[in-house]
Amino acid sequence: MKMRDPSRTLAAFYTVDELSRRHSPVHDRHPLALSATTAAFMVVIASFGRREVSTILPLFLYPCLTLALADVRPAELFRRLASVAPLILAIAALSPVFETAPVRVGPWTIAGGWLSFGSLVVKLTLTVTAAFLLVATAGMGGVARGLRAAGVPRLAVVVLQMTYRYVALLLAEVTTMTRAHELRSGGRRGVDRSVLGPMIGGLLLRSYDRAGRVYDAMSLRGFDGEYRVGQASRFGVPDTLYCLAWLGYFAIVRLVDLAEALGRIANRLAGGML
Amino acid sequence: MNACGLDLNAIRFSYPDGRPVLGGLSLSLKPGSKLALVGANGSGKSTLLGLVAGLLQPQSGSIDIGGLTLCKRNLKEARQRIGFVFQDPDDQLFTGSVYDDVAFGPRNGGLDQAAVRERADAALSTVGIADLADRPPFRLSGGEKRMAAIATVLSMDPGLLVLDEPSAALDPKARRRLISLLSSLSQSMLIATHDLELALELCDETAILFGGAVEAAGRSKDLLADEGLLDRCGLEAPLSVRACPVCGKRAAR
Repeated sequence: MKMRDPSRTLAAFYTVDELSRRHSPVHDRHPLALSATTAAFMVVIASFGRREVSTILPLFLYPCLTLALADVRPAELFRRLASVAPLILAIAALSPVFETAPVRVGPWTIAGGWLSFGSLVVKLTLTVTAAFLLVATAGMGGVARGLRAAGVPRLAVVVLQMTYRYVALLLAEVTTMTRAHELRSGGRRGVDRSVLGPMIGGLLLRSYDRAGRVYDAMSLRGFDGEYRVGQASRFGVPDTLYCLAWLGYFAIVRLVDLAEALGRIANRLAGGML
Repeated sequence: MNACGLDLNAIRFSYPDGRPVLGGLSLSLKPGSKLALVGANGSGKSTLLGLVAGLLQPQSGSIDIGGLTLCKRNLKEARQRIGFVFQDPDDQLFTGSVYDDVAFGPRNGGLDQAAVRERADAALSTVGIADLADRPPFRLSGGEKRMAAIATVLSMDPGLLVLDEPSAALDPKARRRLISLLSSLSQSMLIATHDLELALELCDETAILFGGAVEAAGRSKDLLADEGLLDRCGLEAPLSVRACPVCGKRAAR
């Protein structure tokens, strides 16, 4: 079985942490503002019908503008999107199989499932993008602060943070094990099926052991079940304006078919030629 | 916090599988002094450190840290007096940035943001890595990780530093920086190590563990020059105290 180099995955994982420590008009917003905006964005995405595609497209303004303002290289986003693309496509690919009823799209007649496919791909892409941008701007600590400020129970937030850290720990162990395997596999790429089972078992035991030591290190420094990540600055006027601006835009996109409206305007400007 | 003393009285400890590790071990560390704990692999050094930190509970005997007898009830208070530095710094550095790791202890101690910042900055400056505060620990070198791990406990202002193999996997210069740093700190120190040169240079006193008990304890330069004793305990005298193989003379210390 071929595997992506886990050390690169681990490096990419930590890159998100590094990105979140920058300063920009987005990074400097209160974590609650960023979390609330992202949550609203996702709710709006989910509220669109299963065959709507063009009406969702104006929502791309949010990730595009956030990327630009937060000075996050689009390549960072595309790399992550590429890693989840197979999953997105696999989920969406079922639609054309089950929805075969024909629909008209302009001059063409296609199976309705293809519209659902397009809609799902756009929705999932936007959702993954929004989640990435939230962590890359607020950081995991900021997300936790935002969730706590929004009244999410402490236990749920701690579980989320611990899971995030456990993934890093797991990746570190995977990196060590696969490197050890590669060095003794006689130049063959990937992990052979015959050793995959014992490796996964070993990985779980090693990561469990390591997680125990990390927990000891935490409890020796006063960890009592609450993962304290520092205090955020006060929720100020710029944070309120940031939220209101985006919520307003999301509402417009939801209520008005911007793509169609823009098309009509363009058509009128072109003198009805389009 | 002022330097804490440490008293271990008749400590007995066996792992759940029944394998005895420590059988009635007693040891004492005066406030402000540095004690090296040396012994062959499996002699119980790391277990002893785990007992001092309250990660393990002895079957019998008592552990007294700065006048506080360790028990489940006062574990939190006792741990505030101890700064435990793990053998593998990766176990100790688990957050997204060096600063967050160093601030983790003070935050849990309930300090306000300004005090946390002050403690973390001071600890980072003490170990000489203030410029690495925003870096993720993953990107640090082995020597930098070691310094960051020490900073994570210094920020808690402990009275006793417990270090497990602090010089393991360090290059000579990083090791030298570590020794300079540790010798400059005022805390009491209990250092489990195989690096007998470090023990000789840094610690006034040494305890040699063998067979679950203290085989010998005393001045480092006396014990670590006793080749017969060291050989009996599965150790080897540090090069600096060995006789010259050509002329047979020993270096004056």
